[in-house]
Amino acid sequence: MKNIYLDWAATSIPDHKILEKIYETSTETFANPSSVHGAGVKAKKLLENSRERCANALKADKKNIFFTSGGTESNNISIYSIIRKKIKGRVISTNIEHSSVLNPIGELEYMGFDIIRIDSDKNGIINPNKIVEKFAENIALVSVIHVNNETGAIQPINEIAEIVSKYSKKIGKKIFFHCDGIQAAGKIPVDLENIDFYTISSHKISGPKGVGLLYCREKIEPLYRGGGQENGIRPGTENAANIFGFSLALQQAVDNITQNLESAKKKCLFLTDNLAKIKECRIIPEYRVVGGTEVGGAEASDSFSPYILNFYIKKIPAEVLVRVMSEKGFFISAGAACSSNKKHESQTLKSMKIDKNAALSSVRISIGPQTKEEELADFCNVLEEESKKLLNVYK
Amino acid sequence: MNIIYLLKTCEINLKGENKSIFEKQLFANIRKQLDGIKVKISGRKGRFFLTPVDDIDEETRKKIEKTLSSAFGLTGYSIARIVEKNIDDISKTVIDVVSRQFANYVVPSGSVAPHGSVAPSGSTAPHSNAAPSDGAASSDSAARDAASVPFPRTNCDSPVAARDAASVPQSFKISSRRSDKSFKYSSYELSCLLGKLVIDNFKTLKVNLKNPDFKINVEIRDKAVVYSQIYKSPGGLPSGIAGKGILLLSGGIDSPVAGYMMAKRGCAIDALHFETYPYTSEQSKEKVIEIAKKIKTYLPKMKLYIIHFTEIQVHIKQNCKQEEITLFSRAAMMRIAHLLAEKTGANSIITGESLSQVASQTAENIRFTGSHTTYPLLRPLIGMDKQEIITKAKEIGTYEISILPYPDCCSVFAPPHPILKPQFEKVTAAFKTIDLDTFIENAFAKIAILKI
Repeated sequence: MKNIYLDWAATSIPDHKILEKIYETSTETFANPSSVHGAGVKAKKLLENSRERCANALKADKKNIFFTSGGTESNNISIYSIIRKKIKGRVISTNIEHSSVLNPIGELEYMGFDIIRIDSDKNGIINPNKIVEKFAENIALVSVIHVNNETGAIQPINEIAEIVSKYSKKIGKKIFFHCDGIQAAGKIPVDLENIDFYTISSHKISGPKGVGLLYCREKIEPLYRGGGQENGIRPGTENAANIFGFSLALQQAVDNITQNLESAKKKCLFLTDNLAKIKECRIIPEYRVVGGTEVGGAEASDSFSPYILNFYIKKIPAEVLVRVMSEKGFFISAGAACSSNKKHESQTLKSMKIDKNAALSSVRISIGPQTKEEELADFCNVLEEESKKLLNVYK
Repeated sequence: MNIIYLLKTCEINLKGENKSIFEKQLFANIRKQLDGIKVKISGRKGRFFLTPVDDIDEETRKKIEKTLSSAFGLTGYSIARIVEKNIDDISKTVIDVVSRQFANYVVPSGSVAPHGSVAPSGSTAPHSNAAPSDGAASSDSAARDAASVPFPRTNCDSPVAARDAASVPQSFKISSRRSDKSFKYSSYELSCLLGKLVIDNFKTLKVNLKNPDFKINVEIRDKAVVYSQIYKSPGGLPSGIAGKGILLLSGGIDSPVAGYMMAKRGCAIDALHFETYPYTSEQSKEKVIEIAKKIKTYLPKMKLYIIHFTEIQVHIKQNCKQEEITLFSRAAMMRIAHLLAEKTGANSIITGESLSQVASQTAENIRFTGSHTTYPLLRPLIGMDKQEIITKAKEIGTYEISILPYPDCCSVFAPPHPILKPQFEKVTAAFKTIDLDTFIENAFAKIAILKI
């Protein structure tokens, strides 16, 4: 039985050519980039070339590109950059963030910051006006995710970045705007204007694990102290070979972004159409099926990443469906919650006011550039068959 | 220095003609658990000596002690030292054993160290090499001494914590025995002599023959044997003596305790687990394996059988009243346990049922599930309350694993309101109509043994 991997949002299938290049490079260019000798200089050059490649891909200045160990670290460095502030001001974020943002922000709250968490609308999208309503003179940081990892909802981050920037100018005080771009970078176009922090993870775009990127255009207090690498923002010996591999993956993703996106949209449309036909199957949010122009005048298909689709089959626990599909060779993930562990309750679906039983049944299918339409057709067929059996048990 | 282990049995001693069968089983179990460590076991009348044949290192010692502290049939054991049969060597050893009594107590810094206060005065104690002669020795140096001696018996490395660490011993008793009657001193004389020696060397200690804080035993045999502390073993009867029971092992808190309790009564055990993948997760199976590993420390021969129960469970769910799902599932499990008992030559089935604990454990329900086997159903927890069971589960080390949040099949398929007082004839007839025979045969044909 062939396994079909449909959990790209958890991690992508690595690119073999890139892996081979990393292997070659890590044996040849192994030296510490901080070393003064020839081997060190060679490693440093590799590192700086990689930085330039990433900067070009993001249309950013390379002095603002910092390499980290991954998305979680990039988010933590961004959010904790304000912890030294003497006056603990206001932080505005949302209830649909990934835990690598939710949890550090929870820590800020513990430290005395005034945390405002905005709920999304029923489609999982943040209304920028709700952020404006919470503006105050003591505001220090605004953090909004770019593409939600559970629903694929694209947030109007450029609009938010702009209003934050305008307000910042108006009060004559810097307000940081952080955006978690881990499910967006290399998949949908990114415009870094007015964004202070933008974070990327290598392994979500077929690069190696253990590498991330932080775009940071402000001088900040680092989270860790050490040997001053990465301009002090992320000290520690750089993993030059893997960073090189990541830069190749990012460039490849950005180079092919338009054609991949078009193809993903087609696959996603196919998937939504077919899932909608399955008994008791519902897409979260339903807006993705019925369409319309509710959100900011955009078409439904433009408001969601076509790489991520959340759905549920009424009454069937997500975990059970995931295991049953796994037995049949399809790897998807339990989108939100595990019935036996309340801690993992999905904040995103709660924020969208999705019914609790639906949330317990919610699963996520996430695709990549290599996913084929035939595979999705197989998936839908098997899902229909298996869910019919399960519905007999969970009637 | 030579050491041997003195083993004590209890209930076995009450046996009559059959006693030797019990003893043989006990020693066979110990040898099996020792897994290749060569030992000689001698003695009689509830007192046995286990002598390692070869010199043993620290690791082997730990293994022997772990074995003895988990061997059903033993009530306790002591670590005894073997010395030459002369008064000088015996005295030296007794002093050493006494000074180690103090090594078991943690002395708060700043207070007077027991060694400091009880240190021999030097001139009167020619054999006091074990205790520091400097009366001002700090508690730190006492602790270091304790750690460097060959018998560091701190609470954490002894199989069973010896005493309450709160009280420093104040009184002692010397108990002597002489099987070699040619020895110069009689038992009484030897006790007096050694008692005086201890009093002279440890000024804070008093003799108390009725209720001493600790006892030093000296036995004059072909060599002299000196021992003090008795470490606890679980008691009961050697496992296997009562034949084998099939334990229904769910992954919850109760069933491992039930297994332990029957093992203590001499049952060898094979465990049987029912999995309902994909309705339950792979982790819930892993959890059962972890629990089985814990039980296996007491029962080295235990096997873990696993039945893929999903088809049976689904068939039951789809063909009976919701309220009967749990009851009928348990009946099906009982049928399978019966088949396994037949196949493996077991003579009983063991469950963790506790009367009225959950809906499926009412007397009416127990009657129905019990009617699906002719083997005796052993339910050692039937009269225990949950807290007692939990305490026992913590004691045998399975509690922490049992409370991991991976549901077993009972919880996944449990109806909201299971039947409490079924009419026996009615449910028996209803059970017949769902026709599980083929499902049970198929599942049993695919029974697997899991490696633990």
